[in-house]
Amino acid sequence: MAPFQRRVMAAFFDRMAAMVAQDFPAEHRALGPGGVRALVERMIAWGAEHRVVTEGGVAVLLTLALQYGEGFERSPDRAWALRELAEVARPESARIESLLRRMAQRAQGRVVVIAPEE
Amino acid sequence: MPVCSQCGHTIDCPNHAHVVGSVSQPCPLKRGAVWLWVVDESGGNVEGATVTFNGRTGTTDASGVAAFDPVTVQDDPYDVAVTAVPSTREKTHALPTAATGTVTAVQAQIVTKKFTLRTLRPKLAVVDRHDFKKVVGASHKHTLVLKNEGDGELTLGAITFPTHFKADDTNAVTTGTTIAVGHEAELKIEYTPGAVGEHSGDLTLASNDAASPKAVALHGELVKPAFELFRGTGVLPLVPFATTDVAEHLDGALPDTDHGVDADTRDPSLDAAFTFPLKTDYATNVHADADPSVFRLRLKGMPDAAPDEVAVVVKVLKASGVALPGVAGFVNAGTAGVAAGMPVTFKKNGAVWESPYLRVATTVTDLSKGATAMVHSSYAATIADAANAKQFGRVLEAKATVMGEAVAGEYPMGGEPWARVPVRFCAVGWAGGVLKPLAKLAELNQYWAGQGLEFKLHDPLVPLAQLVAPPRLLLTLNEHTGAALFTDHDVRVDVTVSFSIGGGDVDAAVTADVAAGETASQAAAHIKNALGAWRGGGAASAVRLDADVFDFAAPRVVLTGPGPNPPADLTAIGARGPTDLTVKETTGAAVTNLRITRVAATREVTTTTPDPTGNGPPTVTVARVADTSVDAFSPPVAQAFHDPVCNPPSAAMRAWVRAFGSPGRDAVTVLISDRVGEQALTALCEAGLSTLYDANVDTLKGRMAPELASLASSTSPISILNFGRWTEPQAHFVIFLGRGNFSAGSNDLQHEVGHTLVDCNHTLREPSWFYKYELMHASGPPMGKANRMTRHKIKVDTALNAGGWKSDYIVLAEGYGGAARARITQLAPQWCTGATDFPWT
Repeated sequence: MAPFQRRVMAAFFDRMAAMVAQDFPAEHRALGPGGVRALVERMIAWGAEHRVVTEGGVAVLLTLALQYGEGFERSPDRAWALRELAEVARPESARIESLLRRMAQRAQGRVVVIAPEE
Repeated sequence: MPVCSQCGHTIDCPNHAHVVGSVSQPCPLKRGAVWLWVVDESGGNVEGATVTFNGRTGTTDASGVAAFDPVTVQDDPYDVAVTAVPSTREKTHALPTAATGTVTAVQAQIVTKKFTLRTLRPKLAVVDRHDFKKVVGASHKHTLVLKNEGDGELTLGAITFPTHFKADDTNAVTTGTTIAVGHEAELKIEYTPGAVGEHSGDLTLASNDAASPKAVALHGELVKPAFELFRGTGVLPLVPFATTDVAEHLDGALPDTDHGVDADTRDPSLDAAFTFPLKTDYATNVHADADPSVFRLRLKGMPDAAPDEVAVVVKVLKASGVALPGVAGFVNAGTAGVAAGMPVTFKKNGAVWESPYLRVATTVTDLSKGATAMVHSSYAATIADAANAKQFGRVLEAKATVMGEAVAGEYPMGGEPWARVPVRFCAVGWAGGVLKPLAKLAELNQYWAGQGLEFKLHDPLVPLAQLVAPPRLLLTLNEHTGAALFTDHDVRVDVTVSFSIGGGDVDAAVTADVAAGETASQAAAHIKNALGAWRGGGAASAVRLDADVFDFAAPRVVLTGPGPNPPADLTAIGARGPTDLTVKETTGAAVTNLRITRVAATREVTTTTPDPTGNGPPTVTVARVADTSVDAFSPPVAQAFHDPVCNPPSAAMRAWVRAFGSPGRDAVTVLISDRVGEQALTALCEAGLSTLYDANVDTLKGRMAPELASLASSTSPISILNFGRWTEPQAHFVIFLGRGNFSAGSNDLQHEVGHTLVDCNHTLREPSWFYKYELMHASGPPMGKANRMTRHKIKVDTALNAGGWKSDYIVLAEGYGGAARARITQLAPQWCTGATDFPWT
């Protein structure tokens, strides 16, 4: 089972790296391959803390982290999103769907940046 | 299924079916966007804020975001601003200090401009302390102004008061009250001190002020104004009369021995005159004590807000414990001067309010000119007025209202008398008519107050007792002869004592044989023994008779001329004092109406009659015949004055004194008789049981001719009897007055009291001096009408002429007020029957 799992994980990392490179090229350049892998690992771990364990779920967290920051700190919905994730009694799919609809749709694939103080 | 927001195509996962949703795929057309994000200081999103982007207006959503999407990406930045806070936050938030800015749009990015609304902050301002200061009264109110000096609306929370403080009933500022920015609210507070003293604590105001709660220190002090009597620099010592040297006290307290204040420095304009509309002609003493003729009152413990001048009413409230204005018969009751008192203005002097110089003086119309007066003496014959006449124990009252607070003080003035002398007024042989013992008592008090004496009724409920003559219980031996021996020959004395018992009358006849050469006291002892040996029968079988024998060592009368009124033939009277035998109450059975009903003396006479025939022996006859040579006498007691020439130590008077004198020696008895002088003598002579020595009425009248002549021309014979030197329990002062001497205005009683105190028996060669007096002050202004105590001349002393006979009285000058006063300093210990326990103090 272990070699199989390794192959699966490797494939997942490859897909995520490709997604970042395609959809967030600026971030991909800034992070580099190692940084992207580390980010994916952190999202896997963060998701596990909140019982988000599917590839799709982790992919959503990764996407939102790239758009809004790892702690969603650039999102007006941060407080809501964190509460949503924390409701671990609810199914992962429902919570990920909720995050996806409210946050991902709002950004429409774009990265949110905070304008510097003037 | 995800949909591209730019082109609308469905985005499918190229590998497997969609499970939990998928990320939006990159849209080749995605463009830049700008979010204007409004939050508050706590990071919360602000919905409803108005923003502008490049001239376009938007409103933030529930996420606090107003999205401008898409926007054209250009090199020049866009102007952005937040222009209004939501209406729901207008009271709590304001626009940021930097409410405008610029944003440069970037392709495929959402550039977010974040505005943070400024939180408005209320600030409660209030005076940090409120001091009610010194107050009087139960409740005091104040309004505290609460002001919102912040930029946010102020909402009050709990309001907590310290003890003795609370919200006023009309206060409307409570928990939940809001105060707009820059506005004020009035918190009405009330100080309810309850008890005298200081009270303080913090009023605590909770609010939405960041510095809440706010403490406001409150303070108040309840004071109680009170009067204080003072003079000079110290409080006046009220010295009981004559217990110490009053003069010393005054001298120590006052800069001057006269009026307490140096006359040279005292401002006369400060004196408050109290003109008194008196009608009576009597002046009375007020200086008998350390009476402050000049003094001041002051108010202490005054509230801070008291006016500089306080109106006070001063008056004399009581005299000798009797309320003056309210008593019946108070002559001036209802007049302004008495009932309303004297208005006086107290002026502020530092922390106290001081009166002008005051005087308390009882005076009369002619004395009141420029003087002060507060109490007077009445002359009406009522008990109340008798009390008014008392000169001691006055109570001075001061009353004021200070800021609604009643203030009163009472001060004893005039001190207490040195001695209070009970007096019994007894009418003898009462024949009707008007006697005013209470008015007489008032006079007596007026007269003697200056000497520190106060006279009172022995029994206030019986101002005048009516007496009947005492029974004959006194048998005198050698009352008139004064001889040392009772008889120079054998004598038998028969005495009959009668009494009633069991409804029947009994005559107990006893016989006592007195041998030649025996003294009167021996004779009395024989009679006493005979009485004791008597035994009756029937109901009287248990009765035992007894008698007391008094043998007076001092001469009865030793009078030598010349004098104003010496009896003419006193040389005929012996020098030996009398012996009295007084029948006592019986023992063994209840007996009434005990009295001596017969006294007779007989002697044995032997008669030798020659035999008529000349041949026989003579006939010797022995018989008992009446013997008038002995002086044995049971006085008629219907009248006291049976024998003026032997006045006062006469048998009849002794009978009266023993009958009506005060057994407890606690009163002076004044016997007022309708029948005096010649009438009394006549009654004596007509009495069946007269002296054996003067059995012949004509002889008796002849011997007393000079006295009868004097008495006949006088309607006011006055006698005073003093038994002070006798050692019998009844001995005391008894004053005999004719009814005519008892009228109002007559000073006979006052005069006789002087004898009582001074010269208790001025018929004796060496009178006993019963008191000493002294002048207490000789300095100061000369005596005159303005400062005299009394208008009476007080004759209190006697002067003996060269022959030892009283020739005149020493007259104490009228008026011992002010600088000069006199007082009795000492009574001789033996003045009252030798008793060592002085009963009048």
